[in-house]
Amino acid sequence: MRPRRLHLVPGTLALLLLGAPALAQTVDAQESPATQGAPARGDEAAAREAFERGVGLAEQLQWSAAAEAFEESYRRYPRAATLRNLGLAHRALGRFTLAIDELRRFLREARPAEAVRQELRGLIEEMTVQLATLTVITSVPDVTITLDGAALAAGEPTAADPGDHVLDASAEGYTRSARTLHLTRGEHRRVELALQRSSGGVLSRWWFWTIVGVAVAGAATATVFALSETAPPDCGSLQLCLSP
Amino acid sequence: MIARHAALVALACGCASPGPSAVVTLATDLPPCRLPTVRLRCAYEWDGVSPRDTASCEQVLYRGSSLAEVQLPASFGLRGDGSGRPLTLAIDDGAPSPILRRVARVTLPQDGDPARVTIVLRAACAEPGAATAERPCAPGSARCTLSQSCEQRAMTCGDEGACRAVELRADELAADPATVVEAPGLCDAGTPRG
Repeated sequence: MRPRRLHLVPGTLALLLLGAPALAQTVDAQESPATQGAPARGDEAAAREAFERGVGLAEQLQWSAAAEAFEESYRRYPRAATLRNLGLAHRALGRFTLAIDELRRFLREARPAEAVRQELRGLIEEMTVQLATLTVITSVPDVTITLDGAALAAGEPTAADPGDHVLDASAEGYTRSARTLHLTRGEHRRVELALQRSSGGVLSRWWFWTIVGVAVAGAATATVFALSETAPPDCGSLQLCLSP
Repeated sequence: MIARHAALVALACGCASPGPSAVVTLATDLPPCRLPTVRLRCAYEWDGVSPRDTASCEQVLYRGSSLAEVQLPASFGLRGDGSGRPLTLAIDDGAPSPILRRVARVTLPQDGDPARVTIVLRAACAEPGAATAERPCAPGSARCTLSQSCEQRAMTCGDEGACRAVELRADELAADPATVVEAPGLCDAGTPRG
């Protein structure tokens, strides 16, 4: 089944879909934030600035930076309209589980016009069929399993984006297991985890791996920072760089 | 091990080079209604066709005119790990069994300017045809697209709409982006969508 196209009139509906005009209108109309606890006006102005920055980045197809800007906007002033842009940005990045959740929340909270509802429902349906399903089976009791850092229940099918993931499992008295996993579109993957009993020592201690994790994350951040500071790669008109 | 440590130190101090890279310009003469999705995948030690379990890249582009979609021709970057190994790039329609796929294997330049590669997804490659001795299809299939037939012969359907080797020649690493085709913007009124 081929994914459905989103049919839009260039330059008009496209802008509406991304929501730049909607921001000004809804903020002027003093739309309430989607969550309880009203933010200060300063946060609202900062949210608007982040939102507009996100729209600008999206127009340049810099989806990762655009998503960060929309996340910042939503964090500062959680308006339902921001969820729409956030969902579209995450869709463009292939993060379908996030995008589906955000667009559903937008439909539920913003109650948009029927035409918009239909467009977004089509996108949700298109993304849903592309999700992979992962089921992790293990006989180890009280095991903690995470997929890309998010908790995952053993034995229960879990929707996941197609692509590469890190599956991590740990349990008291067992050696921690971390493996990469490549899921394809629509795939149903069953993974059996067999953890080995640990023989004691520092390698079996959670705090040791926490320190290792922090050190690796720090090195990775330094690497990214160093690379971006020296010579930014040419990522073409799409601002998309692929690296195996 | 020492070399790896040296590389990490070089990266941490900010004196590293960005590594071997290429800029790939992607074009097609297929309208978005016939090719709504383009999937990009890359990996080392891969034929571009077999399912992969090793670490690799994957990105799906949705064609169209909204801000969430892309219009072709467009270009993207490809970065290697500096090992000098050939890197395989596979571009297809995103279907589980693609009817159109281009595989390109490239050894990225270790220094100097990034390579400039142009890849054109031709409508001719997606045209179905009957299996013949000269144009074989997968065992048991009476018909297949030219792209699928090329893969039966360990080749790929190239920029000119004909089977060719997956390896890119040295002269193809300095392509002129001006030569790429423009994708037609409209489909026939009777063409089914979706």
